[in-house]
Amino acid sequence: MATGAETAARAEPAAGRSRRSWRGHGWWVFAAFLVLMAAWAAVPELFMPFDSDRLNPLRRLLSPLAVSDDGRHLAGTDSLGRDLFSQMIRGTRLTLYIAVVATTIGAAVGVLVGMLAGYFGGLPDRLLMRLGEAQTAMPMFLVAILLLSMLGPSVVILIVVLPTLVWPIFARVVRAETLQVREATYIEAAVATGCTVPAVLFTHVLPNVVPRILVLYVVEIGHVMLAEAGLSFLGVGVQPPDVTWGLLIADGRPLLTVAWWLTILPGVLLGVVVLSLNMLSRRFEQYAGAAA
Amino acid sequence: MTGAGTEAGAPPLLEVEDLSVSFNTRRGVVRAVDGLSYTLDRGEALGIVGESGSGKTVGSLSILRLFGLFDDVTVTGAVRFEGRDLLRLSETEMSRVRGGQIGMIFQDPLTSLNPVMPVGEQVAESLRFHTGASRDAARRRTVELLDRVGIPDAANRYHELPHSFSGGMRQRVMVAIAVACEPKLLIADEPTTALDVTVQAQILLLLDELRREMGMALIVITHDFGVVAATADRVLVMYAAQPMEHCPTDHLFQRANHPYTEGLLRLVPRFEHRAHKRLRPIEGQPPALTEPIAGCPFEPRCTHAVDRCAAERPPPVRLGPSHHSACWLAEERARRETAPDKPWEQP
Repeated sequence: MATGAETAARAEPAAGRSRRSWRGHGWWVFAAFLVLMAAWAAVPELFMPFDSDRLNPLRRLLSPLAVSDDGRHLAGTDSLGRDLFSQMIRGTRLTLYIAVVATTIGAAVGVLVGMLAGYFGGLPDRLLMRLGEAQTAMPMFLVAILLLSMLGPSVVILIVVLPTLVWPIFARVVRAETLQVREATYIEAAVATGCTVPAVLFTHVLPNVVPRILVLYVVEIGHVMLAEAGLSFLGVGVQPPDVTWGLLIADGRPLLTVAWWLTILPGVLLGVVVLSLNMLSRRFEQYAGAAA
Repeated sequence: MTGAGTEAGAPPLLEVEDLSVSFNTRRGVVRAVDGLSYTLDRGEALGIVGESGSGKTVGSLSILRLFGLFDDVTVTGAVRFEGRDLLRLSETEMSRVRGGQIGMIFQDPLTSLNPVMPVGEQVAESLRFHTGASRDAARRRTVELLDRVGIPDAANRYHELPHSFSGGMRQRVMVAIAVACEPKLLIADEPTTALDVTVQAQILLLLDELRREMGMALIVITHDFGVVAATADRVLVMYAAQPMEHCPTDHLFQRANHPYTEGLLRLVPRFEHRAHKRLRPIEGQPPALTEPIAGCPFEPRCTHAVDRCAAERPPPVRLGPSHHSACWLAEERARRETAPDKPWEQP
């Protein structure tokens, strides 16, 4: 994607300049939005206009921007009269928490596997990477549904299952980078100064692959977030009374024809967050490209 | 071949005995080093000279067992460092020797430093690993070392990344890393090849000073006779994976015995040459190392070759204390009435 944009920029200098300036400065809007999301997750009470759990039959299914006796409902209310905007804010914490923790676990596993496979090559490389490929070949989303329905849906199991979706991606990228770094003279020089294998991997190889990991990490948070929403939507993910955006979407589905906002607005929020993550990742990619 | 200094009871610092290294590649077995032997005393400097592919680098990397992780390599012989055979140490014991007892400097300073790690950290890393120094102590020592190798404003440049250093400065950092733990032996693999001529002289001077200060032995691998003359007490000339001639440095320039050494010396440009005088290259190509060589590897290119040269491999002939030449004609050539004090002017 980025490569395509760069080629286009080179081909048309005029268009390229405007695009580059957009790419240079547009990212902070998305970054600011993500900071807002982090704030929602950290201190939802500060942002929620209403108590997200308070039921009120008198203000059921109000459309967005409608005014009740309590005030204006920015995102409308659900079938039990709860304020949707407040619920979306409340759901932010668990949504982000699951996505970040699961992606971090997946990244840690993938980075370790990728470095070992790339550095040692040979049999360990073949074993580890075939394992990743075999897993990629399976429809992991379906396996996740199966596992969650067998073990019972819970946040903990979700956090254990979701990393399996992403670790092979990290492993592949890190392995490829490690293959390059491994050949560098400074790795040989590090060995010649007495570095043991763990020291070489963690102090010399890892810092050199971090830019690529960072790019991937940010994108994968978005992917995991979508996966969690999918699982919650299907009823095998997060369970009430916990709230995530995926769960809100699922709750709104039966009422789609009468109250579209219950499904659409959490969906849009989820989409914008994933888009922001992608944009931020592209920004990191430019840095990583410049560094390499 | 045995060098000087074996007469005393104590073993020499380094004793390489009949070292052979071969790589098993898809194209066959490549003999990179074939029957290399030499000894090195404490504080002594040995220059290893040879053209590309002559085995000088592999021969020295094998001392530290620095082979690529994937190379299918067979090593025979012995490399005794203070009496211990390094080829038989475990990988953990070996990592204590590397950098701690034996330091190494590589050819290309631009790629031998980790680009994302502050230079100071790279020096301190070795110190902390080998001496168990605390973070602070290692940092103080690093600043001293950087200062000693000639990095101006060392305390402030500690945190800079390699890209803000020039080639010469990076090589100085590499020298600091290599000598950080005051090793007993420093191996410098073409330490000046990638540098400007003026910087080359500075680095050589620095190596020489450090060697005397710390009492290190030094192995300099090079294809530059100027470097040998400047740094080495003794010279080992290698050709096609085999040692050809081994002699004190002053002998090399005055009493070179082996026809290959002589051919090389003729190729060094001299001020005495008249401007129009052409250098005469040695005719032919070095042999492929995948083929077994029965006789002297230099025989096909040697203008003095006799029948025996192609059939039998010449053993090193002792011509004097620590002067050996692997040539069937060595003694005859040594007796030549006019000592070739200017080998480059010989017919």
